[in-house]
Order: sequence, then structure tokens, then C-alpha cells
Amino acid sequence: MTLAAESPADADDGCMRRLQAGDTAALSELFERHHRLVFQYFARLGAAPAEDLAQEVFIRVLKYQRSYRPGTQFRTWMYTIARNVRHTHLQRRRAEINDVSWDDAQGRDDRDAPSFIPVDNAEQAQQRHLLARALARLPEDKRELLVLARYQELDYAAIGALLGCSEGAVKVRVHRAVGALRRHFLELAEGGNDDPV
Amino acid sequence: MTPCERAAALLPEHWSGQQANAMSGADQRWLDEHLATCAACAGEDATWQALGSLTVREPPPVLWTSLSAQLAAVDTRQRSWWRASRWAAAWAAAALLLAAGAAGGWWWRGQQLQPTPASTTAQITALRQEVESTRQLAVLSLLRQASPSDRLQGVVASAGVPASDAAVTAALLHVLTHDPSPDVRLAAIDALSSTLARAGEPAAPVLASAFSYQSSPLVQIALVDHLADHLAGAGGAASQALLRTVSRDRAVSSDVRQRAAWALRQ
Repeated sequence: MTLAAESPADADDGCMRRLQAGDTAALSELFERHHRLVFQYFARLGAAPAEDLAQEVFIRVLKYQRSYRPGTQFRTWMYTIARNVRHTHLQRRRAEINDVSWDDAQGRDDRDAPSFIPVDNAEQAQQRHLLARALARLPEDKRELLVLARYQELDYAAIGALLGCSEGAVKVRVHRAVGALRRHFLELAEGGNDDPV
Repeated sequence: MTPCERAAALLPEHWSGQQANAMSGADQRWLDEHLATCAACAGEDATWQALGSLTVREPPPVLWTSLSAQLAAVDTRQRSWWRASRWAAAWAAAALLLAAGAAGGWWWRGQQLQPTPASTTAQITALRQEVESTRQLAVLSLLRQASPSDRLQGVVASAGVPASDAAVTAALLHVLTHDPSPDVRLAAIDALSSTLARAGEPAAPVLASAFSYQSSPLVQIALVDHLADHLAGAGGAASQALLRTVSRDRAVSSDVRQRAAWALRQ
């Protein structure tokens, strides 16, 4: 007899089936496996507070469990929820931002920058600071695409399913997003860093 | 496809870190050679690499505890809503049944040429008992709800129950001594005092017995005020003794002590 380890996707699917059957303990397993990446998805996109948004994702997993179709990719479904949570958050925040004066809104792209952990080496720290600012200057869709492609452990087929486009289209868009990021980075580096690091 | 276009297609796969995106060994070797000779593609490769150096903080360890608390709150709200809805439906059904019964009774009465006054009185009494019984059930059910606003509603609705209803009086006393919400306990003081007054029973001993269960100064002061109103009636001596004790008790707040002393002076 051959024993095969259950794949993460199968384990997620099993948890969702149990959750749909009324076993709420399955939610804690899903949380254990995915909360770190979900939290960091929000943190990298500068959506604060990431804690609240990550919690909201799992509340919605429980609330909308019936909309999950067994046998499909749980992670794609979960990130669809995460994107909706972020979308709702951004809409609320834009409504708040519309109320602030122009002076208050100065440098908003930097305020939106994710709170990356500082590093010890000053030169590296400056490079990373510039990169974080360049990332924050990208349009929302490009920034999210890079986060999904680089950090969220999603393959391009899953990202394509999430964004509603083909795997090939995802690759092309990712390439363009990296190009745009590099241009912003070089602009910031050539223009000098006007902010003290 | 130019070499740079090919490199552009391979770089995302190279940096994604996903097995499903893994490129072949031949593609990897080709990419390494190209990056060694093409500055533009090497720059893009460096950007991919730099992205990996941007680390964010880890989620707080209490995230699950916090989420569990939120889920429990959502669950309680949903259950409370479901119970309230279920009770509202039951209440509406009972009211409909009673209305149908009353209408039937009037219709039947109309069919009789000379209805006997005794049978009509008995029917009205029976109907009244039905209504009172339903009302009692409604109040008792509301007092057991998880939501403070539902329990508050139950306390208010207890005014419509006959004062002689021992079950409702006992439930009100239980609310006054054990309900976690000070608002509900405050409302229970008024309701209990009014119910006992309507029943012609002394409220002072009952209210005095509830004092030791209270930790909220607001509720303690409300009890002191009610006891002050009953100093002259039955149980007045016990109330006076309690107020005297409270006015000297260092364990209660100074506001409560002052209020008790003021009540004694009145």
C-alpha cells in the first residue's frame, strides 16, 4: 500500500467540506495555514490595519462558506474574498480621504507605502526605502499583481483565475508591472532621496 | 521572439517560487547566460530580487484569539436575532389564534338567540387567562435572552403581567441580582418595586436583599433611593438598618455612602 501525503490544496478542500458539514473547528485549521499570508497580503499593500482585514477574511470564509464549491481551489476563493475586503476598505478610506484638505493629502503615496521592517545596513535600508516608495507609487492593479506574484505563493494559473484572465496575460502584466516599478525606482534614486531614511 | 522577450517571459517564473511555475533546466541555463550579457534584463532581474528583500511584520500571535472573540460575538448576535425572530413569530401566531378564537366565539354567540350570561363570562375569563398566560411566557422568554436590549424589553413588558404572577416576580428578582447589565438591573428595580406595590406586598425587604449582589454604584444608589421611599412602610426598620450599614461601609463608593446618609436624614 502506498501512502501519499495530502496536498495543501486537498487539505484546504477537506477543511471546507467539513466546515460546510457544520464542523467549525475546520476554520481554525484554515486560519492556521493561511492567516500569515493573508495578513501580509494586506500589510504589503499598505492596507491598515492588516489585523482587522485579515480577521474579516476569515469571518467571511465562515459566513459565505456555502458559496465555496468543493473540488475547486480554496486559495483562489479565499483571495477573492481578501480582494473584496480590501476593495471595501479602500472605498471607505477614499470617502474619508475626500474630506481632508489638499495639504493633508500631500505625499499620500508615501503614506500608503507598506510598513516594511527596517534593516541594519544604512545603504541597503535606503535602497529598500526607495523600492517601497516606488512600489507605493504603482497603480493599485500593478502593485497588487506584483504582491500576488512575488509573495503570496500563488501560481500564475491561480492568479489568472483570481483576476479573470489567462495565465499568459498574467505573465505579460507582471512583466510590465516590474518594468514600471523599476522606472519609478530609478526616478527616485536619480532624483535623490528627499526624505531622511 | 527576441532574447529579451524570452527573458521577460521567464523571469516571473524564475522568481515566483512556485513549483507549478518552475521552468526547465534548459530555460534556466539560457536565462542565466542571457542575464550575464544583457544589462536591461539583469536590471529587471535585480528588481525581482530586491522585491524579496522587502519584508513585512508577522501577524500578532493574538490574532486567532481576537478572531474567536469576534466570531463568538457574531454567533451570539445571529442566535439572538434568530431567537427573537422565532419568538416574534410564535407571539404573532399566538395572537392570531387568540383573535381567531375570539372572533369564532363572537360568531357562535351571535348564533344563539339567548346566550347565557354565565357561559359568556366563562369564555371571556378563559380568553383573558389565555392572553395573560401568553404574555407571561413572552416576558419570561425575553428575560432569558442573550441580548441586553431584549432583556430590557422583557423587564418593561413585565408591567403588563398581573402583579400576582409569582413566576415573573421571581424572574425580575433574578434579573436584579444576577443580570450582567447595569441598565437592565436598574430597570428591574423599578419594575419589581411597581409589581410588588400592585400586589400589595412590601418591596423594601426584597430590594434590601438584592443590595449585596450589586457592584455598580449606579444600581446601589438607585436601590438606596427606593429604600428611602419605603422607610415608613412595612420592612422600614430593615431598610433603615441597611442604609445605616451602607452609610458606614468603606467597601462601597463614597457617593453611595453619602446617598445612604442623606436618605437616613430625610
